[in-house]
Parts: sequence; structure tokens; C-alpha cells
Amino acid sequence: MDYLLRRLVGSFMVLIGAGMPVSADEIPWSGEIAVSYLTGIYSGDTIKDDLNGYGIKSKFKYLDDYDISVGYSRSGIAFDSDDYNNTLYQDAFQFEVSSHYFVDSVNGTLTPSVQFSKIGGNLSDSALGGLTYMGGILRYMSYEQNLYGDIHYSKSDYDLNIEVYQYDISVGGSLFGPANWGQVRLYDIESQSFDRRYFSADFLVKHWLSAYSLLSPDNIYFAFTLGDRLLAVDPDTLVIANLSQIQKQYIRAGAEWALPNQSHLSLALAYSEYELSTSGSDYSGTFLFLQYSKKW
Amino acid sequence: MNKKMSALILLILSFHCWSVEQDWSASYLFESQGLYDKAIEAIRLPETELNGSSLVVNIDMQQFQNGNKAETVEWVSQMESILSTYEFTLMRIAWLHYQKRDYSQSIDEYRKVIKLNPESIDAQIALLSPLSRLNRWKEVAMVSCQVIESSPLSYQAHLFLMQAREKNKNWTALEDEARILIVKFPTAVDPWVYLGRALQHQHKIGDAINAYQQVLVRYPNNMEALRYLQSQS
Repeated sequence: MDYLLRRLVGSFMVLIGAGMPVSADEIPWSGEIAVSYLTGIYSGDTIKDDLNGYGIKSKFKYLDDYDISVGYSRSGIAFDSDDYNNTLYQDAFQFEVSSHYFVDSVNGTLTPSVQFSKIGGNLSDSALGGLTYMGGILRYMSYEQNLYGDIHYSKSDYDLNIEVYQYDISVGGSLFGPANWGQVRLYDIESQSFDRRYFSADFLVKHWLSAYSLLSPDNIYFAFTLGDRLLAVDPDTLVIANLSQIQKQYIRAGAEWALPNQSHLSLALAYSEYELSTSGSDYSGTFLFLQYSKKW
Repeated sequence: MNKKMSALILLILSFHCWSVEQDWSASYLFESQGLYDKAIEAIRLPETELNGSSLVVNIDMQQFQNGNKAETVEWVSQMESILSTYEFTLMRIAWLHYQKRDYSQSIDEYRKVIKLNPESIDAQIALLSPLSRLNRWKEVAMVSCQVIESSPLSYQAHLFLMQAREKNKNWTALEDEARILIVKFPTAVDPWVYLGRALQHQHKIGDAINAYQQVLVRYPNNMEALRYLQSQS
């Protein structure tokens, strides 16, 4: 019996790897840093004059498994009225952690994320007060990258004891080939402080071009929102519309240039119509957004 | 060595029974019919786990000691046969999972092989396919670099590395990689295509035209090269 046991152990020993660990040129971490600038002008029945802001965002990625992103932005709205004749600023901090799971049974990647944001400053004090946002989002992307879905839930606590809950769900996919993408996101925003629930749908169409020249963008997109939104959060960018105004229409178009050395330039134009929930007066805003990002 | 062996024996004593026969012909037949689950089942491995680079097999020692000698000898022979093809079996199971589009499972199986035999270039290159199917490009780049370090002439590893550079839009690194491969494999068309793409995205138009012209010499109907040269004419 001892002989048999030794024979068996001998077989095992054949299987013991004797190789040495191999070092690689690649490091498991990668990162991205983005700086952005936002400017806008208001027109119509409002004391707001213009908007200016800037932001910085960093994203760190460990292999293809974990992401951590942190961001800071500062924006100011200039007022022009007898009561206000200055610029009020707000500061926003963002934090998001994601983990990617590759799940064969659903033929795609599931990415749960936890999001946190804090906004403060004298602009928010003049309206609803600062806020603390906490949210969670579960994203799905098929292995072939031709089907996308997400489900998001968040709660925003404003200093004036207003709690806003947002539920949204998205479905997206390739349209007529891999160069086109279409996506719909349905929003439901509610709060005990609101007189009603706010439903809206956001539609996005994106097209990738064959960029043969420096001026030719890598991709262009067009998006618009139908329905009303109040105190809404964009779960992708964590931009929070924290002013007490109903967003009636929101149209935007943008382009992204892929520059050499893993850097990108994004330019977006947006137009939005608002209704003040308190007075019912209407006004509009036109915005320009510029972002430069670099990966390493 | 003694330390390793005694550790193995202790592990063997602590586990349960298995009995298995592998039918390789059936496995290949099922694969040809697209019946991947059955193909895997036909070469099913005993309950095992990896402890470091050592393999632990679950055996009921009581049955081992109480059985009659003829049965036990046969059982040990059967087991020896399985152990002698263990690495290959894992590779095949990984491949069958890949065929089944169970890419994560396939990656797990290939990683078992690499754990058993870290020098297996086969397993490392094979691992690149399911990783790329899952768009895990950072890991594709890392594994490719590992293979290239130990086997600098691995054409497939260079190809996967170029693919990873492209997906990560790292055009300067893609250009460097393509130029290395062009020197090593001057007749191949792929490095010229990747070089053309890298130069195109860096807006080095003259060099990109030259690269795509080299593509057409090797592959006259290459649509990508034809389109680019047409756009620049």
C-alpha cells in the first residue's frame, strides 16, 4: 500500500510547476484625468445672467476589474437684479466606486457602482441649501458591446429638509451596425415636497466616424429630453440640477476628438428651457461645455 | 522537496472519494456536434483544487486502504493516467468553455493551467482569446507582455498586444509595437495594418499612406487600406 501511495505522490509531483514568476512591462493600474470648462447665458424671465464653471476629475482603474473616480467642480452664476448683483458660487465633490463582474450566464459585464456627491457654497445656500447625494447604479454591457442597460436609484438630502428620490432605467444598443448607438433613459423623480412626480425620457443617438483628419471628430451625438425634470441627477456624470426650477426641454449636441497620446477633447452645446416652480415664469439657458481628458 | 511531498500527502489524506474515467473520443465527437457540455463531461476531472502550484485530489483514504489489492491497483493506474494528462485536460476544458462562450469560466480554467505550469506559453496565449472577448484589454496587454518576455518571437502575443494597444487608443505604443513586428515578420500583413491605423490616428498622413501601400502589396483587396488611400487622394 505504501508503494501505491508513493506511486500516487510521484504522479502529483509531475504536476508541480517549477516555473519562475514572470515580470511584465505593464502595470495593473491605469488612470485618466479630465479638466472641463462650462459657460452659459440665460435669457427670458430670470435674474440669472450667465454661468461659468470648471471641473477636474480623476479616474483610476485596477486591471479591468475596479474603478475609482473622484471629481471636484466649481461653478458660479452671475445675477443681475436689484436684490442680487453679484456672482454666487457652488462647489461640488464627487466620488464613485465600481466593480466589474464578467457573467457568462448573461453574456455580459455587470458593474455595480456606489456614488456619493456633496454640494455646498453660497449659490446653493441661496436656493435649497447644500446637498448630500448618495446613489447606486447597476450597469450591464454585453460582451459584444452592442447592448446596454442600467438601473439607478438615488437619494438627495438638501439642507432645507427636502429629500429627493430618483429612479431611472436605461436601455441602449447598436443601431444599424457598430458605428451607431441609441439609448433611452426613463426618469422618475419624487419628493414629499413636490406637488407631483416628475417623469421624463432622455433619448441619445451617437455616431462614430472614420477620423481621417485632425479636424474630423471621433464621434458625434445628439440628445434630447421629453417631459419635466426637477432636481434631477445625471447618473453618468453626477451633475445635479440643484436649483428649484423645472427643466421643460433639454437638447444637446456634441462631438469628441480622439487626439494622439490617449487624449480626448469633447465639445458640447446645450439648450434648456426652465420654469420656476415658485413663480411659474419661464426662461432658457444656452451652454457650452469643453473637456480635455488624458489617459495613461 | 521533502517538505513539499509531506504537505501533499497530508492534503491527500484529508479528502474524499472519486472515481472517474475519461473518454477522449466521445469528447471530440461531442465537440464536433457542438455539444460542449457533454464534451466536457466526457473528460470530467476528479474533484480537485489548486494549492499554490500543487494539485490536491480528493480521495477517501479508508476506501483506499480497505479495498482489495487488484481494485486498488486498477484505481491507481486509472488515476495515474488522468494525472498524466491533467494539464492537457484542463486546457481542453478551457477551450470547450470558450467554444461555449462561457468566457469567464474559460479564463478560470486557463488560469488553473498557468498556476500548475507557469511556463506554459500555450496556456498564456490561449488565455488571451477569452480575455479579449470580454474586452479586458488591460489584462490582454499584461499577459501578452509576459508571453513576449519569455517568448519574444510569439507572433500571436504580439498581435494581441497590438489589439490591446488599439482598444486602449494608445497609438504611440501601437506604432512602436507594429514597427517591432514588421522587422521580425516582414512578410506579414497585420503589423502593416496596425501601423497604418496608429499613424492615421496620430495624423502622420505621409507615413500612414506608406504603411497602407505596404498593406496593398501584401493584400491587394484590403478594404481598410483602399478606403484610407482613397480618402487621401
